[in-house]
Amino acid sequence: MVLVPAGVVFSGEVIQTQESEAWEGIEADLIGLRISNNIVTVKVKLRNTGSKEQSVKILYEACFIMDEANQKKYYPLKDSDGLYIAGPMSDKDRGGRFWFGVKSGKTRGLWIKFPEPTDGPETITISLAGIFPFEEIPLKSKK
Amino acid sequence: MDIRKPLVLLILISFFLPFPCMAQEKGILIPPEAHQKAIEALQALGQERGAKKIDCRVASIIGVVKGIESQSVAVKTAIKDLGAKETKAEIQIELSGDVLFDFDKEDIRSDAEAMLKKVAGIITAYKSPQVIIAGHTDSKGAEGYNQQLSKKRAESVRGWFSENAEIKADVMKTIGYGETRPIAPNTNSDGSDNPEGRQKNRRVEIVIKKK
Repeated sequence: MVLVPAGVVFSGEVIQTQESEAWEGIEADLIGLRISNNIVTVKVKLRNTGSKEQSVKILYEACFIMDEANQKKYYPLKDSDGLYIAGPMSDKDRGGRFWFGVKSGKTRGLWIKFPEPTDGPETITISLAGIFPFEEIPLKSKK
Repeated sequence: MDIRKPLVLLILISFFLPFPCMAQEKGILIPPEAHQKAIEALQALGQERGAKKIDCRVASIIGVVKGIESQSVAVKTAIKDLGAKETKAEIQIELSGDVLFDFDKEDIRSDAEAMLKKVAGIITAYKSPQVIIAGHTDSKGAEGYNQQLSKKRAESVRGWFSENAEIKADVMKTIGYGETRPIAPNTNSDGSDNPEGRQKNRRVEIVIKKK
């Protein structure tokens, strides 16, 4: 018998790393970007490279992806309850937010689902509040 | 009663459960229903998929903001590198006299300039209205001489900031404390010399007041 945990665990190589401008020692690795059914799923791992625990607060409403070529941006998708389709969520404030402590030397992951840009750009910029943007990220659609 | 069987079962179950701590360390767990919810949300948005138009002006503002954020990161890095203490009102930095100056001299050593540039970056970033530069020596030598040397060293640091970092001289105040404020014993308990303690005492303290 093979037991598999519910859900899908993503992990993989780092596509791009950016520093945080808000939390000392926090670095963000973009570890996944998948397109399916015109939905872009972004996976980011936050790493605390500093010596102190950091309380990281990311409002999902302040995150977006940007199609710079066509000058459009797209915010995370929301479910019928008005919550962003993203996680983990510490609470439901303002559509849900990530507000967790990241201890020194530890990591925490987060994921967000966005609409795929309509104009089919080759690259996008991914902006998460408090983290420098991930720029020129190639889009590879797997429909 | 044999308690081993339920215990083994419990261990097995716990191994396969997706605990939050596992998600934190091993990967990112996305609930299986999330994608279906996303498909429904996307359909509700219509053809434009909720796209917001941005223009070049916004893009240029983002560029400016990014520049400010980069500066913020540089300042935080400098504070960390210098081992500075930051409070709501001020930033306190302690620089080793042995790094800044040669023995018995008050001229800034060339290899201390990288460190001073970091300090200058912090002063500039905070637009500090007042910077206090205090020189300290160890207890070797005459007290009056040490006081003069510490004052000259503090003034050298001020001069460097003024000439190399365009920091206005009138916001910087210098003090020479000489050997009067040691932070470590200059001698051991048996009266013998304590070179490590004296090395700590030879320093320049810089207090950068915030607005």
